[in-house]
Amino acid sequence: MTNIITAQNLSKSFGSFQALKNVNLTIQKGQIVGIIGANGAGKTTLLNSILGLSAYDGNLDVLGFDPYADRDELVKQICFISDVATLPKWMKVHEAIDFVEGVHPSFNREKALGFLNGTSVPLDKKIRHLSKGMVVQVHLALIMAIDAKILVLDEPTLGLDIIYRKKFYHQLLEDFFDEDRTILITTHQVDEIENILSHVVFIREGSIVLTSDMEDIGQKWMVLNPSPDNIDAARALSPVSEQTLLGRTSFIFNGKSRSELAELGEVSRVSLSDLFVTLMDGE
Amino acid sequence: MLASIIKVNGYQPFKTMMLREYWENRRAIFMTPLVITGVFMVLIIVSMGIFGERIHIDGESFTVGEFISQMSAFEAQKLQEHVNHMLLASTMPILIGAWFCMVFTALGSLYDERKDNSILFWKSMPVSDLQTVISKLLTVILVIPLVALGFSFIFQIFLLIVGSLATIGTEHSAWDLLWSSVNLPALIMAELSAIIMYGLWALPVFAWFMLVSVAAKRTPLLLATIPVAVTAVIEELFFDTHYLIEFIGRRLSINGGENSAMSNEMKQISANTSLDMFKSVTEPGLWIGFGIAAIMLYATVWLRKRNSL
Repeated sequence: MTNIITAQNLSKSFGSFQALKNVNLTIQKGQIVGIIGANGAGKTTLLNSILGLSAYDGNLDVLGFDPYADRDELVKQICFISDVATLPKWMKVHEAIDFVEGVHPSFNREKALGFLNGTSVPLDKKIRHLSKGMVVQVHLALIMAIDAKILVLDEPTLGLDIIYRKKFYHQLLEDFFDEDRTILITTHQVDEIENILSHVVFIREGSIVLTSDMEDIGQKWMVLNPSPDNIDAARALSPVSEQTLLGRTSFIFNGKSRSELAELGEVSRVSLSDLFVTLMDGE
Repeated sequence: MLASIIKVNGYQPFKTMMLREYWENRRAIFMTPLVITGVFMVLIIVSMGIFGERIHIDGESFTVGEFISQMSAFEAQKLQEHVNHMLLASTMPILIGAWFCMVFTALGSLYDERKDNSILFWKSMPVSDLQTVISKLLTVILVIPLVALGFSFIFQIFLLIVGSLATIGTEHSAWDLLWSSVNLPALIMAELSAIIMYGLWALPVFAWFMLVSVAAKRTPLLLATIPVAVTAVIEELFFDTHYLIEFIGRRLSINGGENSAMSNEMKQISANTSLDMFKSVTEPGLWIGFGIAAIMLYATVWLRKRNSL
């Protein structure tokens, strides 16, 4: 496996606020990595550093480039959709296609038009006259028609309804992803991306609290719903967290054997959102 | 031909960046001079002599016929001066309109993209901050005035044609009176040179506008003008001098100022007029201005690289 992103002691401060604190991270080719954290945890700061959009301290290597110094070279190989609508509102859709074709050496016009033909987006309208869902479709069509090595998505589906969100991820996997590419995603709708991720990075207050491959998470982290008699026994096994909902108590365990827990009750796989809450609450 | 020029065909970063500027600033670049030219053409057709009404110049009123006879009474030299003067003066509304477009385009150039977040889209494309700043600067100091010049030229030809039509039915010949007095290639060359020299002399001022545009949190116009005004007042109060205002005035004034060739010799337009205008490239003041502009543009590029959000 090749490392395509390597961060060592990556830090970034805004005044006295430390948005990233000595982050160490490696991401390899072919991974789909979810970067998960609360608002203000440093997700966007981390992505912006990787994209060369902001300066940072420490070492960061993305595809062999120093992102801040060589942004214009690096973004030939990285595509990016951010959380806010960034397509210029005064631009017409066909102008946006022309623009990307003109400045991006590995853009495929036919591919972009192909994506848009499958939608109801009018090519001669200005971005400002399109619905929010259409704007995302235009942006996605532009991005997916670029033969890039890394795709960075920062809350790409924010403000879209569930149908668009489903379509978005479906298209991403069907039309863009293959083993030569890498995708970094942040989103608040953790459950929606759970099934497509290969790796996950939890970030909290500027530090990485957990990086793992999704399979390991399934093996190490478990939810136990003990029968009422076994609650105290379960508590004695030092769970990472305990939750009571509608009279049912559940525990999240890390690194316990499945068979040991199964004696006390029903064991299931932890969902990313539960794991997220656990990690954010824990010490 | 025009269609192939204004169309993107494959990977052509510089052309695409310039086209992008045109798409964004279509109003400033094209619509403004088009509208001004159109309005003045209509005004002239409606109000001027074609229908035999009286025209007013300097408080006197004539019919077109009288005006033409009066013009024809001038000797050749004087006639040339009058015709050239009229043609040059007639373009002022278009050029002044273009000047305002230059100022406001410069002030918005790196501010609007931050305001509407589109900077994140631009930065996700493989275009360096330097290329971006250069494309915007060229748009402001070259594209806008050149397009305006194109319209000015159309307007001048229009005036000559209207004038020629007015001679129909009189004993005067439009050729003798108008067309032979003007050296059209020399006129357009002189105007072209004037615009280029103006851009060069005014470069530090427009570089300042771009620097303000990249730095302003809000209302670049105020940030561009208030500190300058305050500094000028302080200079006046404490040192009793006004170098700053003089500097800006000289750099910004459309005729006169640093480039004296532009105003004084424009009455006699020949092939040499444009060469005369380029003489001021040897003046150290111009190069000092380049130095100041370079520092401000460097700061502009640096700030755009740093301030992506």
